[in-house]
Parts: sequence; C-alpha cells; structure tokens
Amino acid sequence: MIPSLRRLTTGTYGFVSRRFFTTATPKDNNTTNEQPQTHFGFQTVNKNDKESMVKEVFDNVSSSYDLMNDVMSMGIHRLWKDELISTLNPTPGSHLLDVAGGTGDISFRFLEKIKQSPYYLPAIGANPPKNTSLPSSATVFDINQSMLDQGKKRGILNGYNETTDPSIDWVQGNSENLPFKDETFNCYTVSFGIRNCTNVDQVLKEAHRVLKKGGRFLCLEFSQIPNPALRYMYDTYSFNVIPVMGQLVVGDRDSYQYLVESIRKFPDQETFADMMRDAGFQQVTYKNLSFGICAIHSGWKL
Amino acid sequence: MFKINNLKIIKEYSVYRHPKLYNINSTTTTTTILHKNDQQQIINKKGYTTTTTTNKNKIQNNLFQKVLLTFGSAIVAFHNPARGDMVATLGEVTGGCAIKKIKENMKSDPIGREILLTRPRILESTYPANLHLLPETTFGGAYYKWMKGHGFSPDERTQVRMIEDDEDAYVMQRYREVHDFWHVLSGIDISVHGEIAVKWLEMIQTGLPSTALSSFVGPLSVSWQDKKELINDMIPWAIRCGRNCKPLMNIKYEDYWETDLNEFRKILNFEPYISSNNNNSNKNE
Repeated sequence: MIPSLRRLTTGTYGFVSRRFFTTATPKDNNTTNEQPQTHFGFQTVNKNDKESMVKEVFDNVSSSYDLMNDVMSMGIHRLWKDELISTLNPTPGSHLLDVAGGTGDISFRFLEKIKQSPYYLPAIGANPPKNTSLPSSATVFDINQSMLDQGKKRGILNGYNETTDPSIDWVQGNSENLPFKDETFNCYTVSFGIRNCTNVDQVLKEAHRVLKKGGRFLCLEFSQIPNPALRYMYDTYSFNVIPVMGQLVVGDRDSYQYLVESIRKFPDQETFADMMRDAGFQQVTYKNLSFGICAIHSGWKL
Repeated sequence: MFKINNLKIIKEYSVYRHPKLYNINSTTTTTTILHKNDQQQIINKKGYTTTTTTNKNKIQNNLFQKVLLTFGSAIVAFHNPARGDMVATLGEVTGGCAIKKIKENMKSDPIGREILLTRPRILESTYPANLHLLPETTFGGAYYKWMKGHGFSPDERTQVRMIEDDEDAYVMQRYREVHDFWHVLSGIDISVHGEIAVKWLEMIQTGLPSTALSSFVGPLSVSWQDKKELINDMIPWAIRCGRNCKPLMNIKYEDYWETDLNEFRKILNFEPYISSNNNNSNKNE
C-alpha cells in the first residue's frame, strides 16, 4: 500500500494533499462509503466524527496551548494577533464575538486596544462624568470547555472577573449553530479556528447572521505561501520540527501532526475569499502576514 | 519460519496487538470511526512524515527528526526524569542495532524463539487470575506486592511506536515490560540511584545505547551519598550479576509466577542486590 501511495505523491506539494484526500481510504473498509467524508489532517474520516476528534485534540493540548504557540512560531503569533486587532481598530462601544477564541488571546487584545483609545472613559465611581464612552464587551466562544477554562484562568490573572471587570463572557458551543440572536455583534473574529470546523460554509452563514449591519468579519488563519522557495522551507520546518517539538515539550505528537496537516488542507486565500462572498459578505479582502504563513480575511455585512 | 502444530499454545497467551485495534478472536477488523490510534505516519516522497489511515499505530521518522528526537529527548529526560515517555523515545530512536542483536540472541535460544513466535504481553489483562493470592515468597506474589505497593500498573508503559519492523517493536516492548521483573529479582527499590543500578544491569544484558547513556550520565545528578553507594556497591553488583546470570530476555517469566523467588533466582543464577545498610532490599525474610 505504501508504494502505491508514494506514486500518488508526485507533483508540487500543493497538490499532494488533495490526492491524499481522495484516495487514502483503506481498501478493506466497506462501511465508511455510505457516510459523508471529510478530511482530518491527511486522514479521511466521517463528517460526524470530525467534531469529536477535534475536541479530543484540543482537550489534549489545552493546558500547554500558549506555551506551544510560542515554541512553534517562536513568539511571532503574538505579532499576528496584534496585527489582527489593529486591522479591526475597535472603538469603545464595540461588541466582539471571538469564535474559537479558546484561551482568549484576541479578546484580551481587543479590550486593551479599546482602553488605549482616546475616547475611552469608563463610567466608574459614584458620579461618573457626563461624556463617558459606551461600554464594550468581548464574548469568547469555543466548542471546547477545557480551552475556555484555561482562558478564564488567564482572565482572572489579568483582572477580568465579575467584580473588577466583567467585560469578557466565556460561552461554550458549536460555531455552526450560534446561540445568539440575529444582529447582536458588530465585530466577529475567528483566529486559527476555522480550519478545525467541519462545515466552514455553515460557520460563515452563522457569522453573517449574528453581525449587525455594518459589522465586520475578520478571519486570521494559516494559509498557503505563494513563493515556492519559502513554501518549501516552511513545509520542511512544519513537518519535521513541529510534531517533534510537540512530542518533546508536551508528549503529544499526534495533535501537532494533525495541526500541520490541517493547515495544508485548508483552502487558499482566494478560495476562502470566494466562500466568504458566497455567504453574503461584501468588500472581501485579504492580506498576507509573514509572506503568506497567515492571512487576515476581512468582509463586511452591508 | 517455524510452524506451531499445537494451536493451544497460541490461544493461551495474548498476542501482541494494540488492545484497541484487534479483536483476537475474529479475523476481520472493521473500523468506522478512525480514531487516532488507527493511523500510521509514514514518510512520503518528499521526506516529510504525514498521516495516512491504516490499522497500525506507528510513526516513521526521517533522519533529521531522529537526530532531533535523540538530543531533545535526552535533554528533556535529564531535566525531568518523570517524563517516562522521553526515556522511552530515546530508547526507541537509538535502539535499532542493539534490538537486532537481542533478536539474534533470542532466535538462537529455544525459549527465546517461542517468545518471538507467541509474543506474550505483560498487561493487567494477561495477569494470571490468582496473582493477588500468591504468597509473597513466590516470584508472582513479590511482583504483585511491589507493583501495588508503588501504585504501578503495567498498562502505563508507553507503547512502542517508532520502530518500524513489528518483530523489533515487540522485542523493545518486551524489554520495557520485563524491567519491573528485574526490579523484583534484584530487590532494588524505586530511587534514582536504584534505577541507575538496574540500567547498568540492562546495559550489560541488552546493550541498548539509551541504557548506556542513562548509566553514565545519570549518576551526575545524584547526591554524593548515592554516588558512593553506586560506585562501591551497586555498579560492581550490576556488572557481576549481569555477566553471571542467564540471558534475561530469553526467560519466559509467565511460567514462573508460582515459583519461589529465591528458587527462581537460583535457576537464573541471578544475584540479588543486598545493600550494606539494608535499606534497599526487599528479599524475603
């Protein structure tokens, strides 16, 4: 079986992943043909099972998630997330829905940015001044409760609890079926989470539903690098180093192998922009970060 | 290849298969949910390790990954000895040639050959039913008491994933699983210098490079008192015992559960370790 798979891995690396997706099913496995299939890294799994497999991955990585982010990207992920928030450029009075927010990186940055705004004047104390700014909030939404628990711990360390600063909400649920009413948020971000979702179109439709008119959808996600030489270096680093670092630092190789493979399976920048336009977003643009390692896609509900 | 005419032998032992994957009594394997244990990570044409779906739980590493794993796991294991999976990884990545030599030794011995054919595993599910009832003077009773006293379970052992050949992987797994037996036979309790003494014994018996690394680098991190004990008593014991006793990988320990412990030691010509201050021995009174 391995020689036959080796024959399939011809062509540039960008096409390898599609061939694995279509032909990697084992021959003696008759029962999976009836159910709809999707990709889980380079494996092919039933669509119904992908959600629980992703949940298992994130249960395993939640306690060391922030540490591993720093190890894998050498700290650059902080710059990417800062860039996302400065693209969003929130003003006081904004309400953010941070989907797949996990440990709350984006929400903390969102609130810090609002506090640095010149128009920020919170209504605290017995006699607040008359020109206080509107209150803002960030709702962190994630399918995995253990990631949310890690985020809550970080929130308490940074002063975000019910008494001192209740601006963050931690909600668990599935992003394909958001428990919010239509048009409740004016910012929606999803940061490194949408590639783990089973039905990306459904997630985009729900995003379009909960955004107010004039609201902005931002997606920060790993994407494909246009330059072939850099792509080769990035692939070498991803596949050779990252799973081994996962094994050494936290003892979990499979989750990081899934991570680097799921990056390759996600559609590239233009395809994802088309998916956003199909969901109803307008003025869809994207910009590449770090030569295309990540991309920020932006769309508006108008 | 050897054929076993008496099929009863096969059915008495648990064959080495991953517990979650294979039902021993059935010949078909149907998996609808492709759990991560069903994956195999192979090296694709470009030299990267990628995942496909076959019913094995194995990882292939290319040379760069092997080097990175060797140095990384050695450093992590040195800093944090509680990371048993790092010690296991070091053993698997560096153990290629030594495992082949052990396999040759096993093939030249009749009981070793039987072990390679039947591939018995030491797991909670393959314990004899009366293990907890055996008196502590027997090998099985002493082993059970030692394991329960420390709260260990044989199921906690890391599975061998990074050795590609199935037979080599089994030899490595067997080496890991009989490590506890060697603790019981030698009478050495759990302590850093105790583990180092058992590693010396393993180095002389198996020749694995990871045992050699632990034997020479491990003593650097113990206290002077323990170093003194190691150099004066434990290492000479390990060398004596390792050279005098029968090849320990060729013993089918499952046949000796009910044998008296000292009798078993005599059969193997295994000299138990008796510390001068008597703190470390669990020989029977």
